[in-house]
Amino acid sequence: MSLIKRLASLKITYTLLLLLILELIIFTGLPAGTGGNRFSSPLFLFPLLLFFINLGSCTLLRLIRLKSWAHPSRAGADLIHLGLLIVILAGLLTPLLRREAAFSLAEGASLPLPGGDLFKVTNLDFSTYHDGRPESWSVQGEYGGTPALIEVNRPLKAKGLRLYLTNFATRPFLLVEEEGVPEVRDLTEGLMIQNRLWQLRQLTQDPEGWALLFTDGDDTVSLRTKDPWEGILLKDVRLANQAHFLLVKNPLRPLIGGGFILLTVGLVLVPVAKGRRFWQG
Amino acid sequence: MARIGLGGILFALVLELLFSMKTPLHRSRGVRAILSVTLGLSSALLLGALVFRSRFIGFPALTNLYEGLLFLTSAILAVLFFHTLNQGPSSVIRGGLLLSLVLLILASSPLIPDTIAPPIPALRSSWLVLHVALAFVGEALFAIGFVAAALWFVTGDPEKKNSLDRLVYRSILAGYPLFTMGALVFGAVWASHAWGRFWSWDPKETWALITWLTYTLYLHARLISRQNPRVCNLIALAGFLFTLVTFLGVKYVSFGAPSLHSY
Repeated sequence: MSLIKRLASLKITYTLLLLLILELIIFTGLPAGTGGNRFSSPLFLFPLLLFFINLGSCTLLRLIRLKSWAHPSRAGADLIHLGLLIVILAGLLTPLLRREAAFSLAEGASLPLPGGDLFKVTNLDFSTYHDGRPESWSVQGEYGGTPALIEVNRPLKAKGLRLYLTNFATRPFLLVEEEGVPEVRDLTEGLMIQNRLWQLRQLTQDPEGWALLFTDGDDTVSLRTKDPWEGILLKDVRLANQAHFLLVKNPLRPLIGGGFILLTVGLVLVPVAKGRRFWQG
Repeated sequence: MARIGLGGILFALVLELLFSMKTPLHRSRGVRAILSVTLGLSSALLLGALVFRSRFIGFPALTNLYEGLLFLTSAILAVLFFHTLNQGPSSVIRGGLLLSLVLLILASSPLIPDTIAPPIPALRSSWLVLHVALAFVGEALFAIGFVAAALWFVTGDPEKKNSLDRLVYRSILAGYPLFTMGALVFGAVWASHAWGRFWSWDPKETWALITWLTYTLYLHARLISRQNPRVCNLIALAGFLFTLVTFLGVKYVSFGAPSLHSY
């Protein structure tokens, strides 16, 4: 008990709170890309772990010595502390247990998801406001043979997985003919011609066909469909709408949700249960 | 409507000055009542401007910085309105009105575009409305706490100091649960719905956490170990400065990584 009492010291709480505030200010101010992932570095995780122990000891002490669980006026603070402990624990475990994968699919394309069921995109719906900003995104598809609708803010939930719709893009494909053999080349990552990677900088369409502008370093090539280029014939350009997805498996989700519920109930309970006494300070 | 709200604040400020100076109107109950009505009306007008914008865009108008500033100012004025009803210190009302004036002037400046634009799909979520609205009401209470804490440092009268100290405590005590639920809990739930993760160490999120930790420090210092009021009020001042960094600083000052938040 004396160890718990020492670990629950309010002086330790103040020191750790100040240290965490200082670290967060410094880490947020660092330019992106410096110092690796600063919030998963021992420099941040160690004080957070100490704070978790301090908070846990304090909660334990309150529950055992003050029997705060039996007093509604004290239970609110314990619920806040318990909720926080759960959220911090989940935060510490998340990098170990949460899994995510990003992928893109065009209309008609499909992909087997973990568990073996096939996810197929049957229809993409993307509309924009007059100023070009996205207005609505949705994907109709099939998952394991049953119809599925995914919208932004409304992920597909199935078998412990969540499939989020994160973005939309129009992907250009080039239909070429090389030595009489037709081929389809994806222009998103560039076009490899004779060991040189040409990036598509501009793509415009007019009644006579497509105009393409490629660059590689300082070199620029302007072409039109039906033009030959380094032994290949540019036949046509096709645009395919694609949706970007994020597949997430997070077994800690119910734990985090539970932590948030305890935290919220505690925050409401404290002023309600303590009443006037509390507001007088 | 926002301009009428601005006029209302100026009028309330004049009334408050008349009320506080040694004029024939000093301590007049009528002037106090007019002041309360003006504050309530100004708050309602700003809220009305947001309702009008909401009808236009088909979604609660809390999706950009301009709308955020109007809502925050309206919330501060509403807190001041209740403050006048409870016969709160006059100097705090004056300070709160000045702060509201600065926020509305900022909202009217070219720095903040007031374009009415419907939100992008990720912002169309009821979690966003809860997240933003509760966080702003919490911040409005922190603002009053800040004004009272600043006045605590310039007041010599021990009785007034005591009353201001209690006001700082009550404002933070009322704002803390709202800010925690709005900025942190509902924000995280919305982020999880929209982006698939509860927390992503975005600069805005991190600064909201810094603000929350600072007010947590204040409440523990004030409530449990009953620290010196000077220390507590210094923490309250720092807390509101961090609130301002969270609200405005992240947008205008570069903090390493760019923020995903629209304001």
